[in-house]
Amino acid sequence: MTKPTASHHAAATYWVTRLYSGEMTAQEERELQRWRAHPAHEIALQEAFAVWDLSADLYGNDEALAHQQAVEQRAKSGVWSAIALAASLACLSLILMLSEQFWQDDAALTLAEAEQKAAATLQQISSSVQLPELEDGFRMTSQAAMIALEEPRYFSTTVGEVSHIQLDDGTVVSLNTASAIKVTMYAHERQVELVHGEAYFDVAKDSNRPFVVATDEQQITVLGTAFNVRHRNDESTLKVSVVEGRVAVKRRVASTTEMTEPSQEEEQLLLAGDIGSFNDRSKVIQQHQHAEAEVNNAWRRGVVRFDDDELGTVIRELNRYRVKKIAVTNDTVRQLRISGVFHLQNGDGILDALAATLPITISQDAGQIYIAAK
Amino acid sequence: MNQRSVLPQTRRVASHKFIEKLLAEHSFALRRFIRIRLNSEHDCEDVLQEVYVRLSQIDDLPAKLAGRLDTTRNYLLQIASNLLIDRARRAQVRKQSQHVSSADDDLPLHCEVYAPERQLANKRKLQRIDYALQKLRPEQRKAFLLHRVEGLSYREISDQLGLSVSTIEKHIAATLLAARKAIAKEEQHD
Repeated sequence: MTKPTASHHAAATYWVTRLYSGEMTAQEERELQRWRAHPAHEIALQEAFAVWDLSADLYGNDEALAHQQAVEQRAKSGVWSAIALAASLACLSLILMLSEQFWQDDAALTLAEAEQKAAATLQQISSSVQLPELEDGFRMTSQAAMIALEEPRYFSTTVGEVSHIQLDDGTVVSLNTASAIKVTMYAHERQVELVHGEAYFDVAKDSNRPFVVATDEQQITVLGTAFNVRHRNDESTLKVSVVEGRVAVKRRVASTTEMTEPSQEEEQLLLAGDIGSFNDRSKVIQQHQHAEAEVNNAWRRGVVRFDDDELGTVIRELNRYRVKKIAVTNDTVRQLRISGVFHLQNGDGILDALAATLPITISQDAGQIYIAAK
Repeated sequence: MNQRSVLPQTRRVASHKFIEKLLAEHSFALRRFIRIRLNSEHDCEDVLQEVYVRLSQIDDLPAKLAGRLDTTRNYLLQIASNLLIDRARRAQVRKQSQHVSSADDDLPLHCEVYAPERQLANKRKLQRIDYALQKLRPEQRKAFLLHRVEGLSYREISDQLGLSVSTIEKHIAATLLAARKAIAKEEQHD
């Protein structure tokens, strides 16, 4: 009998890991089929699958194991555990974060609390938490707001702050760095104006009171949903990423500021996974960008993610959160490409990570940080 | 109060339209997954049908998937995976009733894991795996467990641990390799 070698086992575990990423390509599938045609390879693969399947029961209880004895029963418990695991996600991330040494400073509690609140499963939030302001310290804050009918309330964040705001209708608005919104509750409508910046809305359903988000030029009517809106002063484009549900975007008629008045202009409907970019003249809709739409709101957790992006873009994004800005002094350096996940809490640790991976040197004076070629 | 719903639906069980849309969206990935695990095109449609049935039995499916876009595909693959494990177990039962003689220790690892009467042995294997995992680097173990036990997608784990997705994949593969080695009957050297 052909026996797999250690390197066959290593290859097999690689293939199993790729398969369960859910992102295996057709090309990879062909390669795998070629590879497993060899009997020893196939045995290694089957073994890897067996160990993989078995590992799902690690730390499972004996009861679950007992269930497996009856195949019929097992089918049932398999589904049950899949559901339970999905339901426990929010809680789990909380616990792990607390146990990570990364979170061992004072920020730990605050961030964990903020995340918990942002999870939108907790309904009552009493206190507002805020860290002392550090230079360029990233801060995650949260607050709950009771809003009287027809009285506009303003919420804003400073540079480096991400704030989760729970409105009393159950909606959670997350405000990214240097952003401002105005919220007005009417009996027939909930209105939010994005004055500037970027916000993520997890809208509580209320079919009697539509939720409308307006910017200078556009208005977005929400049809029960979670989505991200970005409209910054230095970008003339409004970017709407829909994570869940549906939204309708239409241009606001110049002559009127009455948001409730329906315009004759065509509405653009965006579904979950759609990203729409709107400016004065044009609109571009990308569909089925689920992963990208999710990435667009990673900032809510204090995370920025880059995927083969130019350093110039990366620095521009990081500067949004920084008082002391970073300047890239040369074009070649600006075009270096990087991928990675940065935790904004890390502060200048991000710079160390960049310096460690790219051919760059970093220097600074009182006002600015400079990145130059090595 | 903060209801999250994707489509207007009946209260408990997802509509067929919802499930069809869900399956259509992940159809390529699901089919590829099933094909590879079965090592055949043959029963692919059957398994897909079973996935459909299973989904339609799950209470409040849209609510469960809402806000978990990144895990939806993993959730579907896991459902398909569980159904395939059940198939493997049934096949093992049939095989054993046909080959009465097969002495316990002759069973190859990948058959043994699915043999219904070997649950006690599986439990011992899990203990050995657990022990081996303790000797790995914490982030390797953590990446693996977050995926296998908690059901997080690689991307979510990457966010949580602050490592790139490809690093997460390497950690998971390394942990799986260590787990296999911990319960391997014998090791062949190259």
